[in-house]
Amino acid sequence: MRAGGVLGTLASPEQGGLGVHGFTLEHWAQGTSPLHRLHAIAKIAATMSLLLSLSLADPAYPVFYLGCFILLMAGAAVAKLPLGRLLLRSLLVAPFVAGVVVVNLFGGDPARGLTIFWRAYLSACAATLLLATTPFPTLLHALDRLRVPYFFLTVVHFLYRYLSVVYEQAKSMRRARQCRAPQPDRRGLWEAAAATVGSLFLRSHHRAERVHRAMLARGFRGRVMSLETARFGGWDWTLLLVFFALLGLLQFASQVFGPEGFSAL
Amino acid sequence: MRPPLIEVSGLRYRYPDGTLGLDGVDFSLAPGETVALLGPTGSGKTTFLLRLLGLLEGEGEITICGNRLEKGTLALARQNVALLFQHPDDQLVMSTVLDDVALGPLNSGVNPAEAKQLCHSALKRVGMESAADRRPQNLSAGEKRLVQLAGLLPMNPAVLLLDEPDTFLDPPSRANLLSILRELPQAKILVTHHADSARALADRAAFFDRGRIVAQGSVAEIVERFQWDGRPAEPLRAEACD
Repeated sequence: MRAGGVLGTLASPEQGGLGVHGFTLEHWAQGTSPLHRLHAIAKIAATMSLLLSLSLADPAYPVFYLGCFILLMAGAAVAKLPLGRLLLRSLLVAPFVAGVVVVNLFGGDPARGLTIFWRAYLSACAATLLLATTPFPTLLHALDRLRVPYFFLTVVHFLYRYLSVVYEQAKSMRRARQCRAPQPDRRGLWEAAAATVGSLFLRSHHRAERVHRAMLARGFRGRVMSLETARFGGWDWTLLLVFFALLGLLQFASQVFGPEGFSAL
Repeated sequence: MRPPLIEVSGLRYRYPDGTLGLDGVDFSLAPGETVALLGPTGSGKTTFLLRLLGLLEGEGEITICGNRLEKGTLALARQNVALLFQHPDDQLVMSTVLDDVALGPLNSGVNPAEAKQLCHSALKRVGMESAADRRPQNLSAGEKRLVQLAGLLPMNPAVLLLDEPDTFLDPPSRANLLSILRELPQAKILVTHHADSARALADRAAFFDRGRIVAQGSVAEIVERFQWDGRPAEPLRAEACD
């Protein structure tokens, strides 16, 4: 981590971090490609169907996984996203499945291990592509229209809105600590980190109270509403149906080629 | 003579830890008037504003636009009186500037198409129309302040409560904000530590100390009496040098 510890992961994209000020994904989502313009609900439906297909696909048929990968990369190319960075970013999922994969690889079932990895990785690619082509507020609004529980969406909304504020606070506290104790030892660092987390929690709690007051002052009645008015049109239906057809075709092809994949030819 | 927009008598508030926030405040605000509230930090100015909107509960009587403030009239009071909070990030809660400005209208039942129009015109009024799709977290301090102000305008409130709107701003941003505020027709209560801002906007001033209004008068009188223009009293300066 170049920008120093945990905070480094939240540093600007140029510094190699996620970039709280304008997340890299958020930056990518500002594009104007046909995929960006597609209605968020269509993109969510396509992603969910891909994830479902991946989880239901027969692990013995590699053609399906390859086909999904090509589909995702085609989508990324249409959206003019940097493929390398997108693939790298999707690798963030690797640590979460590493244990299961390694156990299978060395436990006598390497095919199963690889299948688990590919499923997780392709799912991460699909989710990344969705986030990289849909502004976060638009995505939340679409999820609201899809009747995702409101409480969950509100929590995500405030997390998204205030992550950068909390990050800036943490950064200022770190600077202040560095000014007063420039080179603490390892134990000192842990103590400082613990104190910082506690202090951040308290500050966030107080901020939450002030935010709630500000919302009440503006007539808040318990529901975060958006002006988003994009309509699900014919073009969205068409592209979604084409995507479903392609997924079906892939399933069919994987059955045709069988477990040997292209080597069956 | 037109009745006052805000009339307050015997306002008291005690914080949960027992500290006295307000200790019997009487105050009134006439239509079109701007009053500056001056006083040391912690003297009760912000508490007074929060109390006016029923965001804190305590003793005393508050009448807003002829309606006594109580549970049933809270919503109406909050439509008539809008509060600009001291910290912009406390007020700008939505993911985009436009959605944030729309929070008030949408929660008041205005339909989205009309709300959008109201919001664009509010943003235009403060010169931030081009920022409609931006994220609040990516705005500068001056821009955040203007968006905050735009968020108060769509419902056309009769009174603006401004809690230190001139803090965190560089001189050009401050001058810009003051000139926009001067153009707004609403009556205003301005909490500020800057005598210049009070002089530029207010018709009169009230001085808070330990939860009470201890003096009222013209801005010049109050500033002079409490030496509130940044010039420390001579004896204090001499002590500091020693």
